[in-house]
Amino acid sequence: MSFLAPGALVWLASVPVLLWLWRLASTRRQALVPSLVPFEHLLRRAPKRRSRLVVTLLFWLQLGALLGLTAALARPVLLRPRAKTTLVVLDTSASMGARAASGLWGGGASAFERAQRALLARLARKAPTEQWLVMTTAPVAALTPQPMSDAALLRQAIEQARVSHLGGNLSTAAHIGRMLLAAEPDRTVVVTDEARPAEQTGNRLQWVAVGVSAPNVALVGLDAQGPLCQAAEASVVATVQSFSDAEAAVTVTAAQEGRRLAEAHAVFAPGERQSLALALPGETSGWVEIALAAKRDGLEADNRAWIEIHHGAAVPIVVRPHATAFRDTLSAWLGACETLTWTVEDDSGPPAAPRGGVALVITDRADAARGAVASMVFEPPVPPRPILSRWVVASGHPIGSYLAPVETVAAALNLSPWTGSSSVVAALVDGRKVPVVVAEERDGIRSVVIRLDPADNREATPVLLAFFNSLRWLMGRAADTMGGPLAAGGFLPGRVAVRRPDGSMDQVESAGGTVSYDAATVAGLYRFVQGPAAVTAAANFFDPLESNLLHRASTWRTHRDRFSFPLGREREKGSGPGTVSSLGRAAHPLSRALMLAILLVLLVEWWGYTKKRDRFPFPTLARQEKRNGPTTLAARP
Amino acid sequence: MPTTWLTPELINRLEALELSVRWVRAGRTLGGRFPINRRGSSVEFADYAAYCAGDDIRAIDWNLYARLERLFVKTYREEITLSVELIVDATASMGLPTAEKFTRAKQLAVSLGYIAVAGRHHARLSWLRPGRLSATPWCHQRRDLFRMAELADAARVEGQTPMADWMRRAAIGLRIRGGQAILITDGMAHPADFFRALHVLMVRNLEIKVIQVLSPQELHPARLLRGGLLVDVETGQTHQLAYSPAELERAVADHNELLVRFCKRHGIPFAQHRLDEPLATFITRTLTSHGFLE
Repeated sequence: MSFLAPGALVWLASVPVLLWLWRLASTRRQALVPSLVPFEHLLRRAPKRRSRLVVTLLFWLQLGALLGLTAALARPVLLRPRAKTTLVVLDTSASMGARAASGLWGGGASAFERAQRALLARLARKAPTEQWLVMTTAPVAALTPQPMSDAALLRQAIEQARVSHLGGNLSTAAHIGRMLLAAEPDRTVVVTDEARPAEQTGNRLQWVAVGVSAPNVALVGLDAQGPLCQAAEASVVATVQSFSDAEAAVTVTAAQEGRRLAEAHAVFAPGERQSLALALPGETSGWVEIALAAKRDGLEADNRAWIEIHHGAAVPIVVRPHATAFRDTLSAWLGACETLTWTVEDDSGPPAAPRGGVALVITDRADAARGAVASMVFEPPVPPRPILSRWVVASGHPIGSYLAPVETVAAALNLSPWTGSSSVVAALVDGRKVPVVVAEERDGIRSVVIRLDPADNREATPVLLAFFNSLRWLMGRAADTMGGPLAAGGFLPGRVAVRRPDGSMDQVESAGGTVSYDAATVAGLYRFVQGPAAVTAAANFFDPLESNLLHRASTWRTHRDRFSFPLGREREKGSGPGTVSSLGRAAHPLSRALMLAILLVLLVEWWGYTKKRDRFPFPTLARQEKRNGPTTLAARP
Repeated sequence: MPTTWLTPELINRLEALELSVRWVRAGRTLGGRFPINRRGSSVEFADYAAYCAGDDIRAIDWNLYARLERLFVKTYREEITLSVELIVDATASMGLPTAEKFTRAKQLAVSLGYIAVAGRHHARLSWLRPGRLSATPWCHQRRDLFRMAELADAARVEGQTPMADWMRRAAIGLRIRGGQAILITDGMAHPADFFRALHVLMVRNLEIKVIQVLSPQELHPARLLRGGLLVDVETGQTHQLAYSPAELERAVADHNELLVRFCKRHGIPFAQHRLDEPLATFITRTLTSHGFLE
């Protein structure tokens, strides 16, 4: 034991004061007795004053309280071996739901189930005083509110953990766990499907790899495209990627309320990504479920997605031409589609928003696209010069639909340097890769830049395909992906019930009519209900990093942060109360326990004093006079 | 002291007891000084005794002789009427450490008075205290018991007086002579004074019995006397208490031992009553075993 404020021990000097007070009290106390006759021989023999302190239980209680108070003021701490603290990082990302592909090993336990079993086995071997803090990676959260050593509670928390449809980051979870501990843990246990990092991590890191290396085919994107040129042309473009080391035959189906609407088949080469278009019946509107089926598929979470089809009027188009030829070309192209609603605006003055809503702007002047809900900007070369080039189409983007991966095209291309986003369609010119079609989506606003002169290539099929694909993409909506809050509007202020895809119910507060639901951890349809009002939103799992079960990217980074405590003598110079004075020992303050003990002693003393007053049969002179009036003691005979 | 302590059960138990009388001075009913086991001539059969030469042949039980062919004479219970003086110490020391001590003393006196009256004796209570002599009227019948209890209830402790002086005054003023005297006191007096007081009674040819009433705290004073200035409630004398518990207990034991030895030497039955002992138990068992009652 040690004292943090040893100077307070000077209060021990109050003990002699207590002794003096007791002696003074004993000499001043007067007790009436029936007779001194039995003690006469004692009175004759002994001197009147004897230096002897007569103590009682009350004296010891008072002395104990005084010593306890002195000790409490000196702030004692008990140095005991500090209980070991273990930070457990449990990977709950979507890839942990992977199972060995059915047909080969018959399914079996998922990686997360194996992780739970491994963790529970370690928990069974845990020392009783060892404390665990279990962090999950997706979402990053602590399973228990604080580090605890209760094995039963830890077991319950681990058993109740569930894998989510989110991407996870082991380093982030570990970092937050260390922040919650406010100290470097004695040991870190990482249970994940990622491989152990190659760099040396020291003896304090234990890596439990439960990964399943299995082939997988996943939906990595979904785009809904409404009718463009014909009323019946609603379609969904599903981007599928194979994370397999062999060819994979894939079937993608579109269904609504159990009714199959469309189906597409494809064979994917190892690692290939394709966009499959599913043409939906003309009257299709509402939520459509896209499902993927493949023979060797290790992860179920990335096989389904949902998207809402709006079968209504297409977004109005506004053409703001600068050049007359551009205007004529666009008029000809747009005129070929019956369902498109488009107008031409002169480029004088600020662009006016069309009546009734927002518009998609097609222009050959970059500044004319401001304020548009979507924009297609042509950047023709000046002067236009047709160039023969080989167009390379990036796979997986809807704009590249129906375009050959590599195609020879003669078009007036803008060869000026480009510093923007990477292109969907690029042209190889003189050994240089020049972007032709660049698509970008920022904050929900899509924009396409086409760096060629449309007037010079009015009839070129690749140009037309690129234009109409871009137009369709600009008018479409991407499916909502997970990772961010789900938004739904049209509610009154108050509580809104949320029905989750797993059937559970939740509640969220509606502020200003809009709800933002942050707990969308499972892919599926979320239904927000408030009275008669109901809104459905979808959260889709599109995460190629998680879907790639063959080559798991490592999210672990060895940390070198401020929580690395110095070792050896430097540790003894640590500041603040309760400083650990030696390696591996913690100071447990005793002040609070002492104060409670003192309070208990004082209560016992008070009780004892009242009891003594009741039991003490020999009244004091003062009490006698108080009861019977002044006492005149009889004179000695 | 309300008379609620005089329950029918207690009275029934008292009815079964009799004062033991070892010897009696010749008074109006009997002359001389005779042992109490004299064969009297009353009608109440007492026992059989073997015939000795000189016995009254009219007392021979011929039926018994016919059966056993041995001569036995009948003996009869002597009817004796005694004067029983119940002297209760009412000095200030009897009020400490608690008032219960004096209350118990009064209860004892009333109980013994009832036993005496039930045995066809005469009894009265007198209070040993300074000032005028005070005593209750003589009680001859059972119904006088409650009157005795009421008068006892009204009595209070006060002052201090030498026991011997009071005895001398009482012997004259209350005309104490003959019979039995039962002194109920705490014994907190000088032994010499105590001895002189009993001597006064002995000279008056009374059969003396002493009951010492003490509280458990007085027998073990060290438990509660934790230092301070002791004040004698009767004399006002003070002394600083600074003795070990063993010394205090030894002093009290020695003092009581002196009283016991004196009584034993002079054939005076002595009984010590602790307040934590029930009154009925003390009367029916302790006093019986000490020769006070039978």
